[in-house]
Amino acid sequence: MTILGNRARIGYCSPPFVTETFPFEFYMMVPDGVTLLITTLEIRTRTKEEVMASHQRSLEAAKYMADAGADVVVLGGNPINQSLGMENITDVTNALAAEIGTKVVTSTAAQTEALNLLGAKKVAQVFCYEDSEKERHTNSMRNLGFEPAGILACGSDFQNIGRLDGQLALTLSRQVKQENPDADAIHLGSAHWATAHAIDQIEQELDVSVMTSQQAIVWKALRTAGITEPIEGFGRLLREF
Amino acid sequence: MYGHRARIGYCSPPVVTEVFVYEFYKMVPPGVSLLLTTLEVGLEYTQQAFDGSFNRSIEAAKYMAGAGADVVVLGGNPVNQSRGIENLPGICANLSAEIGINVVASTLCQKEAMEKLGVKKVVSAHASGAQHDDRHHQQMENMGVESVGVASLEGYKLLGYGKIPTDCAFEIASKLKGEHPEADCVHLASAHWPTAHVIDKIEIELGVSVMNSQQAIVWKALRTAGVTEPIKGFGRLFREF
Repeated sequence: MTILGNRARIGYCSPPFVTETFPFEFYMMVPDGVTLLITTLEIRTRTKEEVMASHQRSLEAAKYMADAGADVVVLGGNPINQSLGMENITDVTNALAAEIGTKVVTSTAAQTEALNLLGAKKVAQVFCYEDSEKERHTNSMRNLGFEPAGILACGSDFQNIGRLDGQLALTLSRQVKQENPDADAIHLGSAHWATAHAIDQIEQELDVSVMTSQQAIVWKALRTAGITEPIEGFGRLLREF
Repeated sequence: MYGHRARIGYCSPPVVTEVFVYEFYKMVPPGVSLLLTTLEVGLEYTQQAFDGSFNRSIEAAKYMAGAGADVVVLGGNPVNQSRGIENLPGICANLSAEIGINVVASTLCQKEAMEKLGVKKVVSAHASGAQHDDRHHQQMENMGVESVGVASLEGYKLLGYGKIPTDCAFEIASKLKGEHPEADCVHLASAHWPTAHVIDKIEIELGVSVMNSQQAIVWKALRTAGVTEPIKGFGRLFREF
């Protein structure tokens, strides 16, 4: 008697009210026998109220996921995580894990650990939203403990990130690396635009490490759930760590 | 973009959704993506959960249309039928006119699927416990077919349907067909337990048509979005209509 998620069942609290890209890329990446338990949260445009409501729905969802037998729960969303205060994230996740009896990780912690393992020092950023979000993304990278080294925006509003051209991750990575040749890593920020297909090509062509939010979340969730084999096709992170 | 052929919106009743997304990406051809919002149905089927889910569905449908979805599915037979099955065509038509894209309801997808398959007498297998047998019987009758048998798996909660072993669907379908040999169709009810992998096997070995909720939803959404080619491996519905 076996179940679909016979190797691991991964819970993910997904910030976008309507979520598209994360599950698509999840099933591109994970090996057979791994399933996704997903709850979509409250982010429509990313107001402060939506961020707060998303955190509350995450806590409720995490309990449901634990009750449903998830092996690990990921609290998604750098802005949601960081709204708790960087210094509080570990305590929040530890307390929640103790309460629900399942491992809990955050998107923010997953990305920090990923950049550390990749040996990143100077991180160039490409993200999907408007130029007006550059400062927030730059600060977010500093909060993770890394030196920002250039940033480019795709220019989409939150609602339309699923419509972005699949080539943007690659073309803007080329541009940001050309403009910031000292960068040793490129962060493709946000787990909700098309990036997974481009990771290997960016690493090979530009001689950098790549960390995407989606990749780091899936990597950390898999490893926490005991799925430890190298996974090819989505960068050094899933291949080497 | 990932959904360059079709982008399908689905309002998914379980607050934590697992199996639907997994089976969706097993079924659809490359170039089709899923836009997902999870709703409010948690541990119990309550009118409050149905009302909250319906309202969240309407908001999600508007958001999905703004995000460029080709079609939106209002999921959940209980959620749909809580509005009155006779009202569903009007609800879908009015919402479609308001948001400018096609809207379908899970209930109507299943009804149309059974009409295409030529179903007269149906047996229904579900996982919500025998106390819900009458509801499932009535839902089939509401769709205009004769419900000749209903049976349930026991011991599973909606949010834990991902823990149902993969051979259960065939076993319960075999039991029902054995007890009701006059049935010309097996309905695997609910789009959230593992069924997609056994549709062909049930049709071939038991000599019936199969309509499962998840299959009917994805079939109707694909056809509505203009993805019309036959799809093999998931029953007559996808292969012939």
